[in-house]
Amino acid sequence: MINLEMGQPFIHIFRTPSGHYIYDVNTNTILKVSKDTYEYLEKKDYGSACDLQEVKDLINQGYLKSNHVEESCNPITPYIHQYLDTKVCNLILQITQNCNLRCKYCAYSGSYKNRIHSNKRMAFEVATKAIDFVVSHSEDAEQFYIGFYGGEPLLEFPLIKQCVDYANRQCEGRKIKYHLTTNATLFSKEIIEYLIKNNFDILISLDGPESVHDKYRKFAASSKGSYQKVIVNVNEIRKSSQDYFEKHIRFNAVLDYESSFEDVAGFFVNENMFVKDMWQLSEISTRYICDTKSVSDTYIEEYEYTLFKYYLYKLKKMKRTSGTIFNGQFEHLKKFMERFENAKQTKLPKKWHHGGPCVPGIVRLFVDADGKMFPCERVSELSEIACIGSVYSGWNYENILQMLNLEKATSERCRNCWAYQYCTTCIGDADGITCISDSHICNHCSEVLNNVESLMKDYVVLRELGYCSEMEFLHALYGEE
Amino acid sequence: MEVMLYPYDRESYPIVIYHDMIKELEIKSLVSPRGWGLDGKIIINESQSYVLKTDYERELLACEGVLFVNSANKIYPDDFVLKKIQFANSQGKKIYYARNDEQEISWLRENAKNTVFFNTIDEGKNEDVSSNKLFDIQTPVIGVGGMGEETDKFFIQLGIRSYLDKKGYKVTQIGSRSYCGLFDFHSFPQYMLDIHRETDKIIFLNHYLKKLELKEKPDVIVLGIPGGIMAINEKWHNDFGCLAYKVAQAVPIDYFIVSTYFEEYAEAFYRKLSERIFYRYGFKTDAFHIANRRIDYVEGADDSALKFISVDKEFVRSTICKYKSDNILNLQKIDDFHFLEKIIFDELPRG
Repeated sequence: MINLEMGQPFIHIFRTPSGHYIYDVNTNTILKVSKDTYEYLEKKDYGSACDLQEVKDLINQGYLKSNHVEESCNPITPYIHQYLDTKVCNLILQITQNCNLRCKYCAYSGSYKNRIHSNKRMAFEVATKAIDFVVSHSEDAEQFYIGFYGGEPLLEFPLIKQCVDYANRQCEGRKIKYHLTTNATLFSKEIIEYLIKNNFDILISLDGPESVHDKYRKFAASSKGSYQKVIVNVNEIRKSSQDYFEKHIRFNAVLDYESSFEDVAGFFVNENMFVKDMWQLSEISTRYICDTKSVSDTYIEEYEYTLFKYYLYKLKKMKRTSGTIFNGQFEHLKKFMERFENAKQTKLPKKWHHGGPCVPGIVRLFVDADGKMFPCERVSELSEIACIGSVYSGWNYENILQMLNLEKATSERCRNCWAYQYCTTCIGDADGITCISDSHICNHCSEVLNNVESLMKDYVVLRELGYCSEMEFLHALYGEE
Repeated sequence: MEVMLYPYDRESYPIVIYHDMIKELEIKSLVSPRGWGLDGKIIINESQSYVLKTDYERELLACEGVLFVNSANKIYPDDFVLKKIQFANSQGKKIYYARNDEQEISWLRENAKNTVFFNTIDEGKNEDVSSNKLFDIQTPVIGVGGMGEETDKFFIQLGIRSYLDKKGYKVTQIGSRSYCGLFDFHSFPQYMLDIHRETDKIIFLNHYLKKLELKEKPDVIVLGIPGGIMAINEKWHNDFGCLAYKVAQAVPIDYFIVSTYFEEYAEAFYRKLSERIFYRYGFKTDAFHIANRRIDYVEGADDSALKFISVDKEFVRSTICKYKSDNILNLQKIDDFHFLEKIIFDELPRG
């Protein structure tokens, strides 16, 4: 007879239609257990004696430990100065806040608290300062990435050319990869030739078929939809170089909960123009939003049914499906799976931090039109706490350390959370503009918990039904026998 | 001859620190490509302080020649250094070459015939292994191996050489880099890295070392092992330490120094590492050097290649201070090599 009085096991239990599982937080392992064990653990009556052999075995094998992280400290903290001094390489320049479209869901549309379209453009001097700043903080970086972001960056094509010329001189000896996020309405022959010549990676916003795309993506001047113009321009790129199109062009579709998901999925998978995996799906951002939108049941049904068909396809139960639009998401799930399959930890460290924050300025360095620096393009330029410095005065270490150690604001709650290692809460989710907002974090927590549990369930169900990522990998390498 | 060193980055740091071991060349300036983020940084060795420059053409004017070296940084585009070489040659500058680029070597052999080459990569290339016998190496051997690239292996080898030279010992040395000719010792034989029967490589290295022992009659042999001694994990496998294993079969290593990446490990980690090395290679580890480089799990997370981040030297030293063992070290200055006294008295003949 044993009991778990020594401490409550740090676990999360969940069920699928065909199995009972525990996620053992200390070892970062998902274990399939018997119904009896599941029910014993579900009761949390650990003071009572337990004669279940399986529970004894689990304890003997090092599971069901009660350890929690004791001190919140991001493991990068001791090295942050080195990172900021030597590893900066991914610059995104907000070269304009202006746009020739007025998309209702856009961060600049007025639906959000952080941004609004304006005529503000980046002065060339700010761009050169930003490029110089990156070069002088890049000793340990391998190559540079310079992105142009807006508004619509192609409104400032001459400035882009100036920046590229300057960067090519200043970054002598290092490879630079340029990229651009655009609505694709302003491509001219000259622009296309230039982008091809400089190997720009381009992310084009295209939400789906004309009826879906034009619902939101309208020209500012005429209020007409932009779909036809986008398609004409994309075909111009293909005509100029199909090879470039396939290698360097990707599409981003912002999902509209009021449209048919099946129409969007079908468009990307069936339209001949697209090559496999050229698209990514994103949801309308809820950060800083004034009014949230509800999602209709029909939309959820279509989404889930398409995803279900996609999983059948991955399990080789279906030959072709419009669900291949989920290829990107599936890669995310596979990475999630790898984190369990490669799990080697025996217990949680005493000092640690949840997985949410990036290393500010290193993963990305977003410079706004005024030269203020932010950890990425998705945080608010109005935020005092998300600003990590400026190209004139350098890093704001205080804010950077606060961002990196975001958990300190909620450490008690976080350290007791079973999804600690999979948390995605970063400054963008916690930003109350002047301070870290506990209510923002709380709102995001439930989203994180739902997502992580959903991923865990997908993972175990796929496994139960025979999906094996290693086999898929080996088939890709050597072909199916 | 006063030369400019180009392109400077951390790879050539050992050359600058131990420049006094290079005969006939005086390093006048250090120059890097502008995009490497090194402009204005200061490197100090025992005799002078260098401010890193990025204006190649201007610095070239002030030098008689250029020492072209390998870099840790990937250089872009591929012919970037070749163009610098061509320009130096067109300006009548003497070229000293310690790189491994075949295109550059071919151009130099064709167009700059008085180039001095230090990259002795051909050493031992045509050796024929015609006997299976392994010879007994009677001279004490100091081996230097590492957890992988960028763990200061070459820096340590130069430090050992400098220390033993100063103590008056006659040293035969095989270094882990291809341009050891710059310091007047041997580079690791190319034969070991080419495609040959693995057994032949072991016998070849043994014979090669025996020949050097008989020819040079050293008091001590210092052998640097390129690459890493074991896999770091499933993704970064360091060639599984195959080369180190072959070296261990060929040469009896009497004193072994392992250089590792920095991490705030518990002291037990080094004991376990020492055990793994003993059972895999058959020799004990006498000292650990902890480099100022740490594996960058942030950048490396989604990448198949290992990435690194520099760590503040004082942070490394303060971490080492917490260890009770006196053989976990951070070897930076020549004085740090006093730990070699122990083996000089225990294992080597008096100098």
